[in-house]
Amino acid sequence: MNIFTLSSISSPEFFLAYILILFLAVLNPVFPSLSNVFADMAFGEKLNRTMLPALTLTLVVTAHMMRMTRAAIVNLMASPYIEMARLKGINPLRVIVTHALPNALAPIINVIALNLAYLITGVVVVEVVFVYPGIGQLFVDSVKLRDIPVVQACCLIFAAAYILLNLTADIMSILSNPRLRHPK
Amino acid sequence: MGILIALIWIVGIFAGGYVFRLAGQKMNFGHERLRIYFRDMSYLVAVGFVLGMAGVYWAADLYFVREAKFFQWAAQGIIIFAALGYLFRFAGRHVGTAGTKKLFRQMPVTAAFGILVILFYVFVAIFADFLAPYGQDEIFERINVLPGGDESLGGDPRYLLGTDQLGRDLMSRLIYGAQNTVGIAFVTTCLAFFIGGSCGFLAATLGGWFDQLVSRIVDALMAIPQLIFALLLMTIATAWAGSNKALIMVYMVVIIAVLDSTRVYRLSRAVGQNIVVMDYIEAAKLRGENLGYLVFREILPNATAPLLAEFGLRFCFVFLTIAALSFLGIGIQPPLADWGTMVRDLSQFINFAAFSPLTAALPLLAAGAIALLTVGVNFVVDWMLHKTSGLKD
Repeated sequence: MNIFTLSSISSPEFFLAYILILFLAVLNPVFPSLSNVFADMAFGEKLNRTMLPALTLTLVVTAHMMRMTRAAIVNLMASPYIEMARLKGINPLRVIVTHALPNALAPIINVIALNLAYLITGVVVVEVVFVYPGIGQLFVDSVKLRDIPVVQACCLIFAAAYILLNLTADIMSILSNPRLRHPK
Repeated sequence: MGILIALIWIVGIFAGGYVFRLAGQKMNFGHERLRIYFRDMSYLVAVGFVLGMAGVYWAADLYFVREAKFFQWAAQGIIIFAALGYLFRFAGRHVGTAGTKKLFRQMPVTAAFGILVILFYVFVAIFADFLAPYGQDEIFERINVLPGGDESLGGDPRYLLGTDQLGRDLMSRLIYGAQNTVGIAFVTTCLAFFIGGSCGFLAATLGGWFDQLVSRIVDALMAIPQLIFALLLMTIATAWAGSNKALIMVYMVVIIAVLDSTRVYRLSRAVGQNIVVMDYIEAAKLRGENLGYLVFREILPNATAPLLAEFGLRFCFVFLTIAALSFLGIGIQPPLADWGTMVRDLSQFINFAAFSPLTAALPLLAAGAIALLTVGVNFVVDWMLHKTSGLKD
């Protein structure tokens, strides 16, 4: 599992994207490989077309999340009160859900927010691979055309979303931790 | 219909886990350890066993019955790589000095594989001129030759991996890609370390207003997502550089190095601050040593291990950023061969997978070359971090 997550984190997004295209669009035509959506398209059709880019990003983020959450949990699971709960003979699933999870919540929320922030940058490459008419595609196109005002505007939007997500992560991790909620 | 079959499979696997555990408990193996293992097995572990069996069945079906070409290649690749890693570690345990032998004895197979991959890439990058059959920008008469070298299938034995739409030999471009992409990524990482490391250590030793100033600048730089910021700066750089392609690449190296040096700065400052409060630094200060001695002779040797691991990680990220930029068309500029650009240029070939799997594998080959190096470096870094931190799990 560790090998798998490490490999999928470190390979570029477009590698995964092309492998998904190869297997799910070319060899077994399940989803279309180009996700050119229009405004007046039925919702089901839109969903079908955006399935592959969504799947790519999901897989990349899942690997990231698994790795970070694992790192957060491994330390926690070594702590004495978890061992105590285990020695009492509680069901392992219950140990994780009721004993470990409340304490691991803050790092996990952090991980989620970091991944959302990661998605913002990752989406640029994936949009180009699948020719999805989104802001990432617009951004890259205007970079190539040297259309500086559009590039600036896109950059502003991306940066604002990034900062907002990081802020939310901070607030959420404070809210989820009673020790931080009531400062001394 | 497909969803129904998938649903049946999922329900079957979950039910199979229960049956598997029950069967294990009921059956008498005559082996005490095995009996206890089945008795204490949790339900999810049993499901995991059944899932693994289903996976093996599926893989065997794909490999032997349906003979899916790509799956066969992937499986062979994984087996060959694992064997190579194992052999390399075996060789390392028996050849070399006592120190390297000891190092190889503690090494997991993944790390040995990572070292092997890095050595291989370095070898290809250094000797690209001798290994490549043709030059990277040599243009031949025949365009779009298919790979495989089989005349009847549209190949040509002179160009083993075929030629691209301009008639350049893809094999040579793939080999030269190692030189260009890896070389540029390495230079960028070194530059990032030079900037970030020196600023970080200076901030840690000097403290005061210098520390505050640099830290705030770094905070501001880190508030914008890296790839986005790099793209923005690249736009400005390309506008400045005009049609001078070499200049664009120099700008790219500097931009990525500066953006990446923020992370290096954070790390080296944190590591440096931990070292600066040590007694031997105090003693050196009282001896009246100057700043250069403090940084290079006292702090740097004690900060090598985390910095080395960070170097590997940074190299991966820089490499991926450059590949992504080239893939988007604003990184390493053509005539120079580069893997990111190759993936983009060859990506249309993927549509021929049903008729000619070899052709469709071309863009994956270039993307896979990127992935293989980053995976290898990450394996080594993971092992190094594990070794230095003493983290057990």
